Amino acid sequence: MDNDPASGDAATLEEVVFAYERGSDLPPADSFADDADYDPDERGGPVLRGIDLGVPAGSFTVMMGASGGGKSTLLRTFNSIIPSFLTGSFDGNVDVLGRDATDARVPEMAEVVGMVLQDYEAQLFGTSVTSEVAFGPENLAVPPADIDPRIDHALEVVGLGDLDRRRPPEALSGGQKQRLVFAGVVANHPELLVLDEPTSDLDPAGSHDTLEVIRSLADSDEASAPEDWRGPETIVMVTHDIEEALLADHAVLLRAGQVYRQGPAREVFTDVEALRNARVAVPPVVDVFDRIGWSREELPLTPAEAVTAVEDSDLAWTPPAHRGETLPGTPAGTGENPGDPLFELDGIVYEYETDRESVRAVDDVDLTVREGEVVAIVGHNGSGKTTLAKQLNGLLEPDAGSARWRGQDVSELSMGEVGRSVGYVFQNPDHQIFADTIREEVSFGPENFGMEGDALERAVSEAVETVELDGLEEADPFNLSKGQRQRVALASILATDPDVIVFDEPTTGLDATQRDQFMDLVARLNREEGLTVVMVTHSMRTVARYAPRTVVMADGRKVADRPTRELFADESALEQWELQQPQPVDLSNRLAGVSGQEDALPALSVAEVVQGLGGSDASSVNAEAGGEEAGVRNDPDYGGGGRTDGGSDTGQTSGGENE
Amino acid sequence: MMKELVTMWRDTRMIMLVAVVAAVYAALLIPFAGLVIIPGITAVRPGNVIPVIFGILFGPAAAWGSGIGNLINDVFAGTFGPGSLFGFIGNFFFGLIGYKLWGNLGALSSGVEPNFRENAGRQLLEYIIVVVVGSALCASIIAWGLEVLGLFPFSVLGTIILLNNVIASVVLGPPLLYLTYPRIKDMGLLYPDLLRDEDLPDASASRAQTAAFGLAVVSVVWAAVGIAVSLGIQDVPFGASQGEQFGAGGSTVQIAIGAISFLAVLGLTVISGERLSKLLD
Amino acid sequence: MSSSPSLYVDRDTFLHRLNARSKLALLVGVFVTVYVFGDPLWVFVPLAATFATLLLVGGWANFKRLSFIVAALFLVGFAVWPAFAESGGPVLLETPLGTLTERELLFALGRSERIAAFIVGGLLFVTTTSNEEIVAGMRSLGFPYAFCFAVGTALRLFPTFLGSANTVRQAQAARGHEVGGGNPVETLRSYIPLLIPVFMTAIRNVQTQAMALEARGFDTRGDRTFYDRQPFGPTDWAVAAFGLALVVGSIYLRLQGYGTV
Repeated sequence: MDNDPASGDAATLEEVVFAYERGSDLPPADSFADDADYDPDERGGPVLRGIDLGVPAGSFTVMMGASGGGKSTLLRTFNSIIPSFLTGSFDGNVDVLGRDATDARVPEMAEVVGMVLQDYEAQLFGTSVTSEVAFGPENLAVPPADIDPRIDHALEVVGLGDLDRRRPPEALSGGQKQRLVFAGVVANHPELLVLDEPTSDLDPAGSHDTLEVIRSLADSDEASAPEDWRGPETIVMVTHDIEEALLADHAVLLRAGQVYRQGPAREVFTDVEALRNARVAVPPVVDVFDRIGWSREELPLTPAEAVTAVEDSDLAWTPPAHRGETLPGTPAGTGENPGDPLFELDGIVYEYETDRESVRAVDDVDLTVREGEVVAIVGHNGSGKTTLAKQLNGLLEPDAGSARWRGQDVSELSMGEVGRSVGYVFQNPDHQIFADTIREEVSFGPENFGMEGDALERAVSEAVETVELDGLEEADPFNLSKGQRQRVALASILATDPDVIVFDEPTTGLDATQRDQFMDLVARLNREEGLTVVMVTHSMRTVARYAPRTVVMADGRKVADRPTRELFADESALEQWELQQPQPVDLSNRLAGVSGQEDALPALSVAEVVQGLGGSDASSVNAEAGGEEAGVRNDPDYGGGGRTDGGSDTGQTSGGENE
Repeated sequence: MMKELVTMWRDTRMIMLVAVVAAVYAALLIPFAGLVIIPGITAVRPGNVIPVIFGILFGPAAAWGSGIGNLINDVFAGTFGPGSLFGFIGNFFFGLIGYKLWGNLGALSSGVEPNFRENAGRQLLEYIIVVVVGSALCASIIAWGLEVLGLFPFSVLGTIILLNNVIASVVLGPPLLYLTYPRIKDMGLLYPDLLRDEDLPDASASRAQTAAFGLAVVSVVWAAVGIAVSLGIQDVPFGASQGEQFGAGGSTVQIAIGAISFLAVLGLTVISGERLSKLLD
Repeated sequence: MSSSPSLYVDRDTFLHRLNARSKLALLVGVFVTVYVFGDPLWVFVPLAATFATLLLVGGWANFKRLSFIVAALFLVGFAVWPAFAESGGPVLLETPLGTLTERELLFALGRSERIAAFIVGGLLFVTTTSNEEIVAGMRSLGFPYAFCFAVGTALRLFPTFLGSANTVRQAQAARGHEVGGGNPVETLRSYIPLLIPVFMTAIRNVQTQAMALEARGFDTRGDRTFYDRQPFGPTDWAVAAFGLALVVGSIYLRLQGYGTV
């Protein structure tokens, strides 16, 4: 894809103002001040506040900005979803590929604009792979004879060419489902492709495969492409993931419903001040060298560029520790000084019965978790990590082996006995929220365990306060943001005063701000209350920051159980289990490699990298380790988490998925 | 006119709701077994509340969705067969009754939205009428169908389905509406918010009310008479003329009563209206 | 991680290769045959043939899964029908509650066999016909597209919701929630914390799904084409004709007075 300025703009927005509420009086586009503190989540207020934007034809444009800043809303104007499907209150001009998108129906725009959203489950409609891909062309009345080659090509592009095409979509993995969504959109041969956080719900393997698809669509010179269509000419993507963002050649920063900066990606992503002002996380590598004091022109974007830059400079790499030395703690200061064993799993075997065979999901696993520990369980989807976690509170009973809780066999304890001490927070808070108010929702667990009266009321108030939702006790949990709903789910577990909380991918589907806010809360509970934490996760960044110990599962077996820092130093092991290094880890491993320090252990955060390069950012490192709220908040690597005011999730930094 | 049952197929969101109602209905009938009365035969299943409450919320989308959901449940549960046709029709009307009756029952109506937050007592009365009518109609259609097919006598299935549906819906409906109605209204997914004005039925208030009462009377009478006949009450001979006149089918009297009642239901549906759109204004 | 709940068995048999429409015609033929005859011997023939075919196409696991229901329905029919049949023939059993005559017994047996045959026939159809083919079959039978689309999408969403129902059950169990209670009302009410999350997660998605649909060009007003019309070959014609022959033949025989009790 060439960025040819002569070809003009694929999409042009002029003075676009939009509010979700119908029939509101919209002020004129030029009346909006550039107000950094504007909270677009306030009900009824305009979300787009005078957008003027040109998306260069042939570009791969990425849009970033704080949560609630209007990124996704803006994307919806490209194919007339706004204002034709979500009518709301709209004003302004939108021209997309020569069509007036304010006066077109969505299905008409589908002829030239394709859209992929975050939630793949909500975008699959077919009863088979074939029918899913054929669906779009059928809608566009493509002659059946021409649909065959489109299916072949679309599946080839997304890397599903070898898939049995009669399979129903529900039989595919998450990553395959999202790639099937891409295939369905590609089969429509769009000229403009609009992507709204396409990898947010995926595990690392799924994200990786999906990124490959996006990359290949951006390089449209494929030999297999049909003659009349050579890939989408222009791509626009909203993302929180900096690695994804770096695929783009053009970047737009949004702030408070307005375009704050736009330009070539390299220029925008090295403009640390603009990124901070737009509350977009600075790419970790840029952040490192900015803190060291390099000028904007010198800042590298990727770990590979950084290594070259360091080699050309007079900087030297001093790793945080070497093999055999005492390990430094986690950046978040969690999981220090473990106590007595709480869980002792011994030879656990668990099998699922399907119609045709039995699948051994957990195969002979031993695991001991001590009081006050923070343990991460990682591995592919289907590796058995969730099934293993569910043994801890007796949600699943093992087929062989034993699970002991404080020396007692879990299978002999009732759910009431073990469930109260071992809280389990599921991935999706919507799978448990049902009550009318936050107070009732949080009371549900403790009531089930027999709490009542003042004790119940106290426990509920404390839990709500801990998750920083006090003042919202009578609010409907259903209307909260996803990050807040996840905190309601946490509060409803905390209210039973557990000794351990097991988290099952607690941050999937949350943006970076919400995720950091959530995990900092968990870290604080561990540091201050001694809460033991077991977390099943695929976020390697979360592992690096919070878990001193990591258990790796593969095919139902425990293949590694070691200090996280040592695991991250073992690049061949990471590769074997397809675990991706967070950027600070990647960078420090590369630096250790080129400086011949074979026994170096990696840095786990930006601050540690800065320190290792001799930067003068020690204060921030101390703040991180101590975990003081103020210190945490000032550390941009945290993406602005750790707020204490209990307000909404909006207006915070987004971005910074450093994996 | 009942044109909304046709015109709703123009709206993408209504079509999606049909699919979602159907899938939720089919899916919830399987894992949440509820009170098992005779294993494998009859259980008061919590899922049976779906046609009524979704009928009130999603109108025609719930009618179609309930019918399709029952069909899909048959396909996955392995009970797909000639009876599935009647299961489809019965559940279709189970879902239909909710929005046809709510607000159209004159003095028996609460006159407010079905949120169980104001006038809760009168809402409960109105809701119970809706449930009894819907359950009776659903039970009668299926029981009649299986009688025609000669699978089970009317009284057996008629009574079982009627009771299952009434118990599950009366117990679960009010708290579920209390918790879902305001949220779904906020999301803008109530059927009057999705259908354009010209796609809503244009029956006058009095005709809509007449149709609602007509549906109520026909449904309840059909179920009562059907069960009575099947049990051999009054002059009708016990198990009248099983399998003779109509070849291999059920009793002639039963089949005739059903045919007349069903035609009456169809006619009343054609002239029926709805009321929620006015309650929202 | 759970397997698909579908009863479809992916094999390559004669029945699997048939078009859904011809299979349906065959099924109608079997159903009519079972329907018109009352004599248990006459009903037994199509029942046995259908059952044997089910075994041949790999449907034993499905039958095993349903055998309890089939047996229960068979027994209930057998217990209920004598009370609704005219008595006749020699008395076989005398109890204080009433008598059982030979005619009542044969009648009930015939009806119970009919119930079983309907289930086995339906099972044969769903064992050999994928969701995809069911929807395509409906489409080619002339059902309106939007309706077929809703059925197909519901079939696609069904396993997703089944999975989420099980997750919700576990999530609430982890919060100490138990299904059941002292009385039926409490038992039913204990399902509320399970039902609401399933409903609301499903409905929350409707807006996004509808948006994604239109963005893919789904339009209830515009023209569309249909890919993959399933071929209806000579074999399909032959099978459909056989189905029709079953209908005509069985009705003819029945009118001649055969196969009644």
